[in-house]
Amino acid sequence: MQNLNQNLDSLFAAYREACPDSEPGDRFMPGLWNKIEARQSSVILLTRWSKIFVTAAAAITLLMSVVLIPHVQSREVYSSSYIDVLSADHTYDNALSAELVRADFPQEAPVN
Amino acid sequence: MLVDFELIERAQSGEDAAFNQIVRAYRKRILGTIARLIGRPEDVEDVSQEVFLRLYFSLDQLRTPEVFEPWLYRLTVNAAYDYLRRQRRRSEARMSDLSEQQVLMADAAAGGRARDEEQRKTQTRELVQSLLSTVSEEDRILLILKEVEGLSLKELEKIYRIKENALKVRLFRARQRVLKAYEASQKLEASKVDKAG
Repeated sequence: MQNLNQNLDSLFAAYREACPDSEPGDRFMPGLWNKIEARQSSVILLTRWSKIFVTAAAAITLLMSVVLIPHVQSREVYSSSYIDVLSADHTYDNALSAELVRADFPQEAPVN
Repeated sequence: MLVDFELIERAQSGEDAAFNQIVRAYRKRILGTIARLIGRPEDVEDVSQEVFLRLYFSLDQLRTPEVFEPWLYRLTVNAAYDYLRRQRRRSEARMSDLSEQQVLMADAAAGGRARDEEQRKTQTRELVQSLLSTVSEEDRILLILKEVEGLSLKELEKIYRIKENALKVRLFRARQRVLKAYEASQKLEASKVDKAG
């Protein structure tokens, strides 16, 4: 086993020699800068779209806060008190109840 | 360090000329390391460019220039790992070719002819690549960094951000697996030589 271990170490050393550090070809640096520029332009494009999206979202939010929300809030339901709203909502019910009461208890003839 | 801290700081501030100098200083070493990690000469430049590309876009995340080299090695390891993962199918195919390569080596030994230097190197590369295909991509990279690149455990600890003991265990297991495959290949080679004899 010890022998095998040593052989493996020698094999790794031979592998190191068989794959020495080598200088890249002439196209290495231009190729690298082409890749950097390509990625940069895609990053710039993505950033531009993100900015457009954020601006559009901010504009919509502003529009909602300036136009839509005051318009909705101007309704009576948002300006009156809870009791007012409740009573207004129950006006029909009250009238109906009164009619029912009248129907259940017919008026007696007036006593002379 | 092949470059000084000031150059790294200048590159970090976006100076392309400084980045160019860093690439020129390290490209030979990175190309060699990538060649030994992936074992496919035709893809070495592509993977090395990927390393420097990642360096360019992540240089601003480097907190101190002192840790530049482990940082660069980490990028190298990651790029090699990504490449190897993409090539997994091919490496599996190579694993099945193992016996064929061993037969070739055995034939060469049996023939007793002295092959020229380049052929011997090619055979060594193929044998080591075949042996390393018996372990995972992570272990293969770790083993090469330790056994072939000659990095110390301390250096590996900085690159992997893993405790030394955990690294030792991983290295031991990976080496045992490679040893087993190597033993099998030696036995096969010996039997071929016997038959030829």
